[in-house]
Amino acid sequence: MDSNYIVCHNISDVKSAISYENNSFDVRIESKLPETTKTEKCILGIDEAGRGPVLGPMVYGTSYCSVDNQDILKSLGCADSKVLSELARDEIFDGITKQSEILGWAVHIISPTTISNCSFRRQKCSLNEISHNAAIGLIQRVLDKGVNICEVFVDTVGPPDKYQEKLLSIFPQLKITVSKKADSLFPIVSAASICAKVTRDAALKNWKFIERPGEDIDSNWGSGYPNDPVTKEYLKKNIDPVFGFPSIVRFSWSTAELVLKNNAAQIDWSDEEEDEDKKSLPITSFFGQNNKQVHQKTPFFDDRGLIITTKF
Amino acid sequence: MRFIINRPEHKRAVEDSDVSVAGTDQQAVHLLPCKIHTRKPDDDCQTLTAPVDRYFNPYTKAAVDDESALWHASLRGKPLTGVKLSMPIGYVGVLCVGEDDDSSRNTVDDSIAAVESVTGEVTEQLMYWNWDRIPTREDPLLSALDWVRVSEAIMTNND
Repeated sequence: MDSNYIVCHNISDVKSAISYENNSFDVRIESKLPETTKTEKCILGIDEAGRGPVLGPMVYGTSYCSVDNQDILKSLGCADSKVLSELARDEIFDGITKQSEILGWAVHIISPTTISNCSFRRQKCSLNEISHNAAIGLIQRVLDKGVNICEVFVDTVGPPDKYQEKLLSIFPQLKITVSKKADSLFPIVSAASICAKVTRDAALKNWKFIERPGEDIDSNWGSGYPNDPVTKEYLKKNIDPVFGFPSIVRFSWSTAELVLKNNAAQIDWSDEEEDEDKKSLPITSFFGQNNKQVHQKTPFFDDRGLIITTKF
Repeated sequence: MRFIINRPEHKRAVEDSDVSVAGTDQQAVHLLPCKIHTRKPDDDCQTLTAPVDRYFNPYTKAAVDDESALWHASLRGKPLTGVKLSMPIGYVGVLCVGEDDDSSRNTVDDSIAAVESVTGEVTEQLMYWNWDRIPTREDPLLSALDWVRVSEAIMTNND
């Protein structure tokens, strides 16, 4: 995985970093490193934005500062990003970037293609696993930069206990708290949540549709949540019969799969069929002689998918 | 095996196939690990276009001119891993369009339909794709080219 981080100083840097990159790929962005965080004991928060929607990236965010400087978070107005208006979030993010001597942050934009590809691997990788890896990656990045982290707060939607154990096994030197609704409990997580949410909004607004170069883009996709009728209508209207959706859509969401099933060409994946055939063999077929004919000829040609053809 | 080629002036792939098409800077032929049903049983006039160059965007982390580079792409959200496959020296690939009919042809020998239509297009290189599996010599098509060497060995007189 390419894990280069692009350094950004403000929201317009973030926007240009996003539109510079091919949106099929993940993008990682970070602030410059606040000097104080190298020596003073620091806290670090982690939260995500855009887990549920069928459209756009999922963004993991982190923010960190020294224990002594954490009052700045409240005075900037860091609170749960979901209860703040978009304008308020933008202003707070602006405030965060202006405190670059004290506050550090980083985001990992996980592209819809990455999300689909992970869940359509042969060895399926769940959204929780993707999320955990993103969180681990961010913590590791901040540690690698030399930040003196002592305590970590992580928001989760899944079961907190197992997740906390997992993180502790990877980072035994850290004190780690994994909690539901951490973004409303810990201001450092609120700050991370705002970084993530502002980045996701910017990514959606600046999405480059490589599928429609130079065209006016229908961006009327509503909330992006699968149960939103506007989102459903958007999916139905933006289908290529062969390729399906543009890459802003998460193909692995059941809503997306259903819309494709009814509105696009059917695609059979050869390996899926094979796997099903294998599963459906009765156990008795492994006992005694089966009635398969013994190959008379060498399997050389069969193995290679070669057939003799004369009409050419 | 059926191939379809994409002429730059047409930029269209038609017909059913287990092979799809690309037209980026050069004519690229993509052999996909799936079958795309581009015809509905009740509407045999329907053909679909495949805007390959806009929707199918292979990339590699290796140098682009590295012949053994692994390529990656995504089709309907599925991760594909591919390699460039060059025809053996002295050979060309011929792209054929099969007369395909989903409803009746499932059990019929491929060899009949596969050669009903030869477009006459030739290719010296194609992209061979697997679903999330690195193409190896275990793949039938990649090992099929063994026959070229074997047949040459058989036909050559070794005194």
